[in-house]
Amino acid sequence: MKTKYNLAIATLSSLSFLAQTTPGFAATPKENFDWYCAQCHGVDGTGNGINSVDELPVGPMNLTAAKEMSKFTGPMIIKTLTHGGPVNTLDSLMPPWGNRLSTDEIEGLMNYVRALCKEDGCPK
Amino acid sequence: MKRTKLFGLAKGLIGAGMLAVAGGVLSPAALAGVTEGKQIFDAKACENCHQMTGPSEPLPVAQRSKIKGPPLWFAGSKFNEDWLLTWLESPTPIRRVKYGTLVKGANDHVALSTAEAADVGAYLMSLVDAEMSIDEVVDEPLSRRVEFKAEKLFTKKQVCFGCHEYPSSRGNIGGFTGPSFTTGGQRLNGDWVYFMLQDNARYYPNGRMPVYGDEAFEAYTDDELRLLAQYITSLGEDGE
Repeated sequence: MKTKYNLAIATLSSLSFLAQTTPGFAATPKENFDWYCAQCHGVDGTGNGINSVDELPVGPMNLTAAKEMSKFTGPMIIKTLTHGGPVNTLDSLMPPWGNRLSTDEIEGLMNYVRALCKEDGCPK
Repeated sequence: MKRTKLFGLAKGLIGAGMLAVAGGVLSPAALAGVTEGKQIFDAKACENCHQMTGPSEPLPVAQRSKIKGPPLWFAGSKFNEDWLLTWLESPTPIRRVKYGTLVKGANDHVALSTAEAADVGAYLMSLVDAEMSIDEVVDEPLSRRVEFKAEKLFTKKQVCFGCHEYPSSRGNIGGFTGPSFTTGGQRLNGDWVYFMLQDNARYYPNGRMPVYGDEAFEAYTDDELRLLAQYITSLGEDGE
């Protein structure tokens, strides 16, 4: 029974991935941000998402602040989005999205995050 | 993890490769409940909010906010029957946001009479994931030492409490968007939690749950998955 289950899971996982990355299914960067990222970072990126609660050890990063975002190059943001916070010595509350989103969607998210930062000193 | 007669029967039938609602297999009383429950479910148009066939298909992200309730095609694998019957009579919020949104609050949900809840509960408990094997997770209380280890899996190895509220030693803590586990032991079946943790996309392809397991986060081992399922289904089991 278990082998049959695992085979079915593997097949379904592959199909799910295809479905998410097939043209027509790929979401816009804003759609992905609002669905996945905004739950912690907030729709405006300031870090005030609904999962940002005082009891958690670390709050979500303010993605609009030059002080925070100037520390990160584009490749670093892509790495963090793909693998999660610890890959860039950030907190483990930042999860990996590379198993949910395609590389194109991750790159789109990186550009979207970059554009949220509009202060003087924000990386261009 | 409370096991009930109907739930055990349905799972046993699945284990034997039979459909739980196959005519003549369930007792007449149980079968009548399933049939009546399906009629009530249809009459109240529950399917408008709950997906009843599966595995669920992934939808484009832009369409996901239209989903108003959790899929129930595997309800009999997921829920404890006692909890389900009580909940159908007196629905209480399971998460602290409206389903599929980032808005604090709870969806309005119809409350059933005791008789209706018994029938709809029988119907829902007959809906099991035929691919899910049973008796994978130990149904025993955790020692303090093992509970401590399991909590670390929940909060450190992967950070489930970023989205899921749980009863810690410092009180209930955690994010809003995932279902709360403060009464996970009353609500959930450990075997289903074990299988869901292995592939949440099978049950929730349209959710917000990340998939861990790469260079920054180690995947749970099989033993850890079983322990985590046992831990989650021990939380609030005694109604604390």
